[in-house]
Amino acid sequence: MSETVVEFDRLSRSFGAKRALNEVTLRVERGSVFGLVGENGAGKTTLIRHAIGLLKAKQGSVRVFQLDPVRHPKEVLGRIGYLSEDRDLPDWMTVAQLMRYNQAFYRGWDEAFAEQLREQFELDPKQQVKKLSRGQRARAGLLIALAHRPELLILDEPSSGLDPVVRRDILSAIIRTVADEGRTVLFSSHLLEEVERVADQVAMIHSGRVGLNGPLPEILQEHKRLVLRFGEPQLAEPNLPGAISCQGTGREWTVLCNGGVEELRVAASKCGAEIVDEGTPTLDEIFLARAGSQTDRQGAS
Amino acid sequence: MQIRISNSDGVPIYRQIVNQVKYLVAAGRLSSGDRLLPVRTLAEQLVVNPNTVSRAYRELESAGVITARQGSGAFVSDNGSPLALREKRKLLQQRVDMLLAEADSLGVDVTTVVKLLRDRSRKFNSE
Amino acid sequence: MNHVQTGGMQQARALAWEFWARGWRGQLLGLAGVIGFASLIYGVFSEISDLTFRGTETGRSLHFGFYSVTLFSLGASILAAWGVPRRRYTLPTSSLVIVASTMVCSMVSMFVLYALAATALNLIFDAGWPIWGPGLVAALLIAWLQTLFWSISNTRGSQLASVSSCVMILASWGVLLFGAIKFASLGGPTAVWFHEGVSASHLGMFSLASMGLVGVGTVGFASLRCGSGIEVHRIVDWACRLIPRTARATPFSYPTTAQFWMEWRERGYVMPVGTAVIGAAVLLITPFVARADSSEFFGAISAILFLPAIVIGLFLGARSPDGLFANFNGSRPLTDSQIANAVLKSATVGVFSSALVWAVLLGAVALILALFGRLPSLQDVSHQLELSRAPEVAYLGIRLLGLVALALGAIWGVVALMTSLVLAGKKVGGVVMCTLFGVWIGGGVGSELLLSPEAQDTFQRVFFFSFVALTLLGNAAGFAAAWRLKLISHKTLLMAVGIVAVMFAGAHLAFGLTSDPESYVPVLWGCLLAPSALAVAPLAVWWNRHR
Repeated sequence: MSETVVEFDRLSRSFGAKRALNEVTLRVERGSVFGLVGENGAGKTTLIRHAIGLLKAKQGSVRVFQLDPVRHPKEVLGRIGYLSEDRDLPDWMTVAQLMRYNQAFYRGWDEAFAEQLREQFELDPKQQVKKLSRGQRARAGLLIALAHRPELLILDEPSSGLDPVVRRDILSAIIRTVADEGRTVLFSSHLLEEVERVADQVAMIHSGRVGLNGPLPEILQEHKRLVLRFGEPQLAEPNLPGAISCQGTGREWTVLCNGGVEELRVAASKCGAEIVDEGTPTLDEIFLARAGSQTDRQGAS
Repeated sequence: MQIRISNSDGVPIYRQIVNQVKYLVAAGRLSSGDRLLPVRTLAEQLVVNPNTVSRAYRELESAGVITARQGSGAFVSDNGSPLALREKRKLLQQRVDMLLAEADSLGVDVTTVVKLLRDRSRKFNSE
Repeated sequence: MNHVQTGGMQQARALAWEFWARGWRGQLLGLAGVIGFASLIYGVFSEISDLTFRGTETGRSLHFGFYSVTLFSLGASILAAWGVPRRRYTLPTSSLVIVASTMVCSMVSMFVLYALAATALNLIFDAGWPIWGPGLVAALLIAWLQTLFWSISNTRGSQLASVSSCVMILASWGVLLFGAIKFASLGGPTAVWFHEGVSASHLGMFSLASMGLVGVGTVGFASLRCGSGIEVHRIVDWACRLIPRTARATPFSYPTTAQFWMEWRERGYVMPVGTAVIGAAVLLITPFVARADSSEFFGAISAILFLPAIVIGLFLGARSPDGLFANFNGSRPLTDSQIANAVLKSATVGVFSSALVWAVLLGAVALILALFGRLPSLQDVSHQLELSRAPEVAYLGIRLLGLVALALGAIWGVVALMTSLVLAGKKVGGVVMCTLFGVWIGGGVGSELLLSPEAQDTFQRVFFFSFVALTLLGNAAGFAAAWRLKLISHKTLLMAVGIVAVMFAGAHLAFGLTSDPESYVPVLWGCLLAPSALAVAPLAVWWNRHR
């Protein structure tokens, strides 16, 4: 369980003046489902492109299976199943040709499994890739990413713009992959419900920095959502120590905090407020609170 | 063994599994000695991370609801019933809380609610 | 009714505004490019010699050449100004208004831009470009192009076909008018075609043709607009189904085989097919070639077949519209040199299969000429090849063999180098190509413009030798870098040596090199540069694949 499959060590990357990644340090352990979350343009795709060697680490280092993906593309990529965000596949190939073409590259290609997936996904082997619908195209991409039973499955925004049926296919593929002993999934998404369902490790990326990183149950447990009721209606957002976000109007305000509930309770009672409700936030709420607070901080500085 | 996972109510997924298995036991839809679905199968069926299911099973085990037998899976415990009573109360309590809150917002006092409950119960039994 | 009329006018005005708002920069740039490019050449010509252009053969030839350049450049800028016709489908406007307004704008733009270029060049260099005839023809051609573009579904294939139809119209017009094309002096047809005075009947024909095009364009646009237009890809599909597809059910034996198959099926095949298409056009003209010109005709078609190969080379290397490695292509589990080799192999097969197509075409051309009794005599051929001895078949054969080896090596070298440079990304490829070309031309033209004849000679000698030395050094550095990065093996080096040897031997057979450095240095230089792609391609992949 403790073997590291993907390792980013203090990885930084700039495109012109834009800093896409800033000192990113992450480890993906074998057998885990690692979810990368962040807004569009936060740097998720840049990070993933580093992992498959399409970007060279300029500062810091990237190791996949303890190898440099840039120097050993053949060894590293042969063990990875990858579905890119744009799902770019050779348009002119038919589904059958696409399968045969990919079969040549991967030693572990399982013909029977590929055929089973093709039937399950209802892909016509004679159909050209360019004539597939968006969902079918994603399924074709998923098929060629899965059919060689990769040790590491990398999915970049696999669900964006797809209908619920295809999204479920993708999530099932993730579960099935990780349920096979020793196989690992790294995926990025901004559908946080899905991440909450299937991931066991989560890293939040915001403007190229890792904001929050750890096992999903711990992240969910550490965060608390409190509803405060003030004696007097508050005109501005109350300033409470330890609160990540604070939303509301008048007397009632919802506060999200990371641990330190007691501290907050004390601070609240000083302001003349009491905690009327306490609960666990969803990943979605945590993400929105974190993203919002960072934007505020940047706006202020 | 039918379990439904909902993303909207902010209850962690493992907790949803735990609650629903407890409910199934309490409601008698799972009786002692019944075998639970293997972790992998349930994970694939629910489309949730297998680790989440294992965690739920561990929790259920430590609560004494199920027993894991080496190599043959998890089974509903024999001594499920005393706990079931507590669980039943706990499950009902949530519903009662909601009922009271609604009654309060409609301006109906507790006595009327209790009376209503009695009436309905009588009707139920007579049917 | 009146209300609708004014609405139509307003809409037409809005569409015209859209046309110019989108395209004015491109059109000005196109115009500046045409004038600048022509000025450069005219400037050099008038500096070197006291040529006059107005009414002379040289002037007409130059005009014909620049006329095609102008059409291409201005046409491209107008094409960009159209934008996507599909966006206009949902406008609450009749198809007639949409098509007519944009077409009128295009025609006016084309005519005015051409007229401006011609006037400017006439004023500065007394270039003698006629305005009315060529201007109106240009306007009609752009209208024809728009009619095609807007009447058929927009696939790249159909657009390519539309553009080539314009070229075909231009060519066949010339052929029909004059019976035979005099390749020796392209001024022939232009002299009559572009006569200065445009008569009333010409204007009448122009108006009739424009109205016809608006009509056809409107009908085509309207049918496409409601989804019942001519779907080109449906016709292509139908044609594809006629050809029995060689469904290779067996899996590929090696990843590299699969990768080559992909390269070839995606891009490589274009080269022989393109050669065949151009060849078919050549065959159409062949019956009209006069006997006196037939040996020159052979030379001309060789060049015609060679030029597109270079352009296609640019296309073979491009990885995606923006020149970078796309995700799918980049994430193949292959080493950089394996990917480079697949591209090079595809280019190589392309060049050689094109050469085969080309040989078959030459045979067909010879056959047609023989049928018409216009086959060039052996004397003509030997004159063309500048042979010193009396032509004997065996001697001719050996020289031809050498020439073929040299030419194939050279074409392969150029195509593969272009492919490899583009493989490094658009920016790198563009910069390297422009630098090499710019330094070469700049040195030559600059010295001729600035230096006295004596100084020129010394300078050009030094310039040439330093250019040779620099390029060879660069080439060697490329091989060394690729070797150090372990992108190439000793096999590649052996192959490079083989290419150089075969080409040099071919050159010796074809031209009979002497021990005079002037004789063999340029040849050796070319031969040594030819295999450069073997190192540049893997380097390019290494650079472009992992940014």
